[in-house]
Amino acid sequence: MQHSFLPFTSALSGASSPSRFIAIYTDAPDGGQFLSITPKIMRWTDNICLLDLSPVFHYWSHLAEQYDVSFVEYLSSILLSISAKVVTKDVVTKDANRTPCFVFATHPWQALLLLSVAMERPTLNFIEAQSHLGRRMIHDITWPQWIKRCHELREHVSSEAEAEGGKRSGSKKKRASRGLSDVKTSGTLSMLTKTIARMHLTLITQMSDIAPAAMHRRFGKLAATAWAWTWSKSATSMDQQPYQQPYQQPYQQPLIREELSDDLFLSDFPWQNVVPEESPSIARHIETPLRQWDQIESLLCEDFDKICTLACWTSSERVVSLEWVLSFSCSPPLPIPVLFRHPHALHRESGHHKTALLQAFHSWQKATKQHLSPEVLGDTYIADDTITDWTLTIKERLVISPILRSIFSDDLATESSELLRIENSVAVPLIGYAMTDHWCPEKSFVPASEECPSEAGDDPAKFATHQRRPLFLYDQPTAIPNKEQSSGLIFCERVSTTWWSNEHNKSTGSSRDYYIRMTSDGLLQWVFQNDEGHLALHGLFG
Amino acid sequence: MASTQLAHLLSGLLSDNRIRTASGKPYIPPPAEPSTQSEKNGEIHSLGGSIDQLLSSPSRSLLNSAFNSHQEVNLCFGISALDKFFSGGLSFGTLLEMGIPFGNGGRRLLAQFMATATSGLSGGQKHWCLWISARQQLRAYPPAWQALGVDLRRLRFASSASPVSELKAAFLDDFFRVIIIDQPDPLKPDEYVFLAQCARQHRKIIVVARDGFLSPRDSNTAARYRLNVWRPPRKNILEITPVRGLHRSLKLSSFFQHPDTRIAT
Repeated sequence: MQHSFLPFTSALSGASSPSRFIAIYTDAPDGGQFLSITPKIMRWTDNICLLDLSPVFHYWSHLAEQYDVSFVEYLSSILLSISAKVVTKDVVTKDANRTPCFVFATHPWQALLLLSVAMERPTLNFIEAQSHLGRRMIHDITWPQWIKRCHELREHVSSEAEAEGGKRSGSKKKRASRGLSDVKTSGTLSMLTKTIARMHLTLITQMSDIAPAAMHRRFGKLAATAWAWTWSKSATSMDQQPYQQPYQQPYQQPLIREELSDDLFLSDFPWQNVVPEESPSIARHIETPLRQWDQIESLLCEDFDKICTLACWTSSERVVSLEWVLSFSCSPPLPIPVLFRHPHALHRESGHHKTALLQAFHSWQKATKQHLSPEVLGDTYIADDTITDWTLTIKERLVISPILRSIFSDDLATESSELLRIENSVAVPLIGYAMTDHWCPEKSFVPASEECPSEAGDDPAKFATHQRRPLFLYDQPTAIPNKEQSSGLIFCERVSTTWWSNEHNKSTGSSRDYYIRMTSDGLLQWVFQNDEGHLALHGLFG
Repeated sequence: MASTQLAHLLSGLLSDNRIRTASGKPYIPPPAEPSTQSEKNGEIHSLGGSIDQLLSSPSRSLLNSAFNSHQEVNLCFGISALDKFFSGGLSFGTLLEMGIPFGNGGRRLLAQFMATATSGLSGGQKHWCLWISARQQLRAYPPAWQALGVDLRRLRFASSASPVSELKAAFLDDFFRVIIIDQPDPLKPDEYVFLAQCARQHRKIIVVARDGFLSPRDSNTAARYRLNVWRPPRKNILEITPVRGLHRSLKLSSFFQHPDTRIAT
């Protein structure tokens, strides 16, 4: 499929890594064709959708690599082709000149705020919050825009709390997000509005030196939390910290998820997925020991085939995650999440389901190990490992839009599709790397999926430097005790550190002198000496 | 003084680089020969050997045409002495077990092997490669791999303490033609048998690099070749000693030439 990529009206430069969330202005009723992009969609308002790319990030970045463009560029072109139809309704009724507008950010709140700004600038159709432009634009957010979003946030928190209350009445289990459930009683947004009006403030940057704790004291938890989200690290430039005391950021979220559970930093954000009307599900009553995979495998294969025959599961859909819940006569049920690294076509493997069974096997192995461990069973060990029944449900899926059928085509057996297939079948991720322009050894490469468009590594001088570096690097440099510091060091190079950055580890000093060190037992180490003369082990020559 | 030391240190690297001068041209492995008198006398081979000579030899075009055909050729290390040692490189379908004490520079030979496999320098065909490591806290440093000539787009890294069970699908598929398992501890005997079968059936080269030295008493009959690669104390060489499948030893100049010891020539 040939793509014409977006002529970007905004710059990507300065973005350090791809963002996980997208805010989109749309009026599609149910998340519409965006379900082709990711299964995790939230409807924020009637016109705004939030997309969480974590379940499918690997897939889209892999496709982008094939076209030799960045992840963001590729996804933008896809979004544009989808949105052309979605936004049409809005174009007719509201704003004939409005182009689709997408905002990428590391936190959904920032995406929403920047969308408010972007909607007022018709020339912008795309913003990456981590780019120079994005970081500048967050300073253009006005107080009315910010407070409007806070009111929306309060509505979502309230509705989620009601829904959760209905579901779990009597249950002691509570999610951490209930921290915001006092918003109804707080009623302090109106106080904030009055304060802003009295002080004649227009832009939120005019109060950027206020810490979230101070915000909490005066205007309540909701305002404080939203304030903290607004000024997260990625939203500010390195030399413009909005307030003096950095606070703990609970939302340093991983881009790629490892678990299916409610995640992570979104514990405070009232994320509510758009749920398809019906989830394909199959139940089976059996009597099989948990440990005997051979028996389980054949039955599971039959169930995958049965799912393929369900009316609510078509061949144009792709499974992203399954939930397989095993029930026992005496023990509580054992839920086993089966995650696919890339959207998987279940119909394609009808009859054998090699990929799905391998992924199920890895998940089963992990789950049974925990389930049958002595810590879990305790002293009252009962050999109750006979499965009485199970339920297999497709939890997350992509509903492929006809426009994108060619992208998800199964006909092409290319190297790329072969690699995707293998990655879907193994228990651990296969990581490719790409070079960056950074001079620091530990920052001179990134996983290929996080490669940024501005970064390239064909500098001959750098190439010559890298030839003298080791094949293996420690995650963290380890200090070498003084008594072990020998004089037999051979100087290699001097590297300046990013001492001006907030992320800088002070123990490594402002510059490092790298040496090759041969230990008495013949180890070839790559060590550095910091400004204070202390040696640290950083790599091994293998 | 420091610059002299660095020059000594890098002498191996520079000789290594001779392979890069032929960028874009396939590396032609030296023909299998009986061991020469010099080898018998224990002379040390420089890494890179006589690649330039081989590339300019009259038989090159003939060899190239052979490589361009779809028939399977051996995969070379790009180090002529080592390729001679293996009678023209490693053939697909081979399981090779190596005992390489970690940290003495022996794994650089395997990285060199990855370079020829991924870049198409050997045989003109680029292969997908997989490096599986069981080490915690220590990860590959890709810029150094790339500087050796590895095409990072065709190399994947995986971290697994149980590579055979967790990455079974990768072994049972034709996609990755070269798989290296960097494992501190030995695998189980049945895992070696499985790997040897996968290598044969799917025409792969699988290398298991262990930290400890191999011994004939291990009785691993699944591997076609078993070798120990080590760096004798205070010597600037890498010594390759066969345990199974080959009959003579090889000494290569180490990429790391310590100035306090005799410089290998």
